[in-house]
Amino acid sequence: MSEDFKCLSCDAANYSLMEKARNEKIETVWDRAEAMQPQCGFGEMGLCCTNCSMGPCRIVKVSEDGPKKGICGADEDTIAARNLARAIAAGAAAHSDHGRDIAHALYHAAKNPESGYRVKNPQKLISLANEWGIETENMDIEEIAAKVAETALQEFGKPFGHLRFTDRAPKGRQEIWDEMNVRPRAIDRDVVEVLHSTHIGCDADYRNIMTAATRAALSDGWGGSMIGTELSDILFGVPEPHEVEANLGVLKENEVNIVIHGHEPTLSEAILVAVNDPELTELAKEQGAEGINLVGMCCTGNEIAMRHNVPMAGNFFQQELAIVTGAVDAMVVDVQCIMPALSQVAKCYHTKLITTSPKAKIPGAIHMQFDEEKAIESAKKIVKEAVLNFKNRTGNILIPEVKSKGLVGFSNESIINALDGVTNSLAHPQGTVKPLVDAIKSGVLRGAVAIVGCNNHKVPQDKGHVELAKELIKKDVLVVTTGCGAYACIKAGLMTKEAASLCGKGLATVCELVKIPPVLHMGSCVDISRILLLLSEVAKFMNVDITDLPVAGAAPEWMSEKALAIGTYVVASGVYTMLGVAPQITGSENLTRFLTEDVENIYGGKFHIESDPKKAAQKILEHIEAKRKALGI
Amino acid sequence: MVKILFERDLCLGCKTCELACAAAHSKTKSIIGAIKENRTSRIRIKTNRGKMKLEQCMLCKNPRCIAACPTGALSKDKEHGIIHVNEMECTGCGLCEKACPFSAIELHTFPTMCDRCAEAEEPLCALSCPTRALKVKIV
Repeated sequence: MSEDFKCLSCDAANYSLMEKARNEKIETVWDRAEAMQPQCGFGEMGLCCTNCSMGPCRIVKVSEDGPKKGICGADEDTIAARNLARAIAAGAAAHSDHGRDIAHALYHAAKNPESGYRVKNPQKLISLANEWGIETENMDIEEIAAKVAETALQEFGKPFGHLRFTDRAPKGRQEIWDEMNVRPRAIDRDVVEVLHSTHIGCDADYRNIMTAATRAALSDGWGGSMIGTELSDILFGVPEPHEVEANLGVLKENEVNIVIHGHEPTLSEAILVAVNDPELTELAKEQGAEGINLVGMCCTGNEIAMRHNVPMAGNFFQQELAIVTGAVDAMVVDVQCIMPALSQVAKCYHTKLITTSPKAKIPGAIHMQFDEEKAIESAKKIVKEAVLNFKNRTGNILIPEVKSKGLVGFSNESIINALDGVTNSLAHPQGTVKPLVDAIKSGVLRGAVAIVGCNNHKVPQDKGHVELAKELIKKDVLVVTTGCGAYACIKAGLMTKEAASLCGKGLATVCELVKIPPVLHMGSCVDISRILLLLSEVAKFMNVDITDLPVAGAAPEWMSEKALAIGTYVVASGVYTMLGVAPQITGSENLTRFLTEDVENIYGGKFHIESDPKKAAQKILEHIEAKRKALGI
Repeated sequence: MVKILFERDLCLGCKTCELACAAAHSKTKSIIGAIKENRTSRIRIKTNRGKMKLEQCMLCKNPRCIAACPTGALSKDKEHGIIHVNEMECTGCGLCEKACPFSAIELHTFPTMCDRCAEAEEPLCALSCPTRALKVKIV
């Protein structure tokens, strides 16, 4: 094994496959990142504008005589803010469109039995219907589901009012949003407004541009993402704690391996039904396989691992390596975070790359469109394609032996359930966050931090997530995680009860009593909405605002536009947010100062940029202690 | 002789110089022309341990490329100091590419290296640089 692989990734499962890829001349994300050096400084600083065809314009800050304004007169602040705002809008659009698809699926579940979707959690459906003022008495579940789905879909384009879920935030938070005029109104409208106001000759005030961007970001966190999470729970069940395996070692040599990669559970849940179809398992046996092994990758993997016993094969930087094993018979993908490079890698092996969404086709891949109106039927066709490919395997197979286990499935409902286990049922009501608040107040738990986000070649894979998590749990800070950060933590063994040995005494005791690991897997990237709701619950219980809580957010290896939207809505929800990779705004000192200092005076939260996980942990701990002091605890 | 000075700290790695060079050596003097004619750049911005690095002919006094050439296909222009390639003599062996200490030569059938835009008034790389990291000095 080459030592240099260790500088690129901290995941031991990858090394043998990186070596295999190198020997077989397969180009991976790390090779392309190296070839891309140097990366353009204008882009890196956010100072290149291509918003109109008078451009491209670039602001030159390193020499006296270089242009300081674009051809239209936009300065560095305007250009950097417009670029950032557009990225945030794109991120919000991606999450929210995911939410829209789930709402459509719920509608199909209600109206169209052929879809194969059914409401799995009527209790949560009725509770949401009640929250939204939808009549539930003497109505059957399908009628209620249709109404809830229609109401959710109206959130995207309603002409008046504001997003319903924003009413779930603590009162003080809502007042700040109203005062700043950032309370989202309708999801599509708020995304469109960013695109409009960043058009040539429109908004030039970087602070006002960020107001529109913040509104669009909040329409993601407290809108599209929350619709995605809540309606997924209604359709596919509320996650409950259970054990799953993780890392590329979950692939099986003697079974048909299907990697489901992307984001939306509408596809992965249907594929899961299809792989358990007796006809298809029989067909797999006819082809010489012992069965069908479905494993997840990226956030759709999180979605099904949270709700079922489906292994988590790997995160963003492992998608190519999964195919390099030579054991993947089909990689089935839908939307977001799917590298176009996959089709080239798949061509070098027997793997079939199957795209399924009309929103994401990849040249060289097989496109088998997934029809949500006939979900199970389309899923079966896709699985059949994978099964029939098993016989085309060559002997060139290398499945790393590395895999780990961990507890996943921590929805807010299951966290509160776990907390009920340590509530004195005679003295206090069940179903509250009281034990958590008590632990924080007493100082046994110093606070909580959400570690979320992607992989990025600018950080060795998983190092940012894992080192930060380890530093924090050592200091009695509970960690919750989603997305690719969750993969990093489960692969590093941080989601086991044994990980309590890495914790400070306080957190170790909490883990033992509540029977939880120190790092809680809360789902996919849209499920950061769960974290917003948990924060709201805790804040309301303590009668304070979210920003008063001893908590922080961190995205140590973020890379996507979605992560920018998340960071912005988390900051605007009042949370101190640590970024391990600098956003492309550093060319504007004003915008950088605005986001890392000034916003704190408005929303209570702000960004902090720190690439060293140990230093980042130190800053977060200082922040948590300052918040504790302010609360007098 | 035209020297090109590289101020590493001013370079942002945007590679505008590379595009300008390829365009300057195309028939239509355009980027699209360069792509169509498969023209490559004779200047390259790379990184070495995170620092910007320039790969371009330095007009050496005793060029190692000429010494390495087994067929005598390379010669130094007495007036401008640039290297000429005699395409009738060159066999495309690539020894010059290997011999250059500045990685300034790339073999594309024949060796290509910076000619300081012999046909233009000023080297286009320096002219196009948005940060003035490349500067021309006549010596």
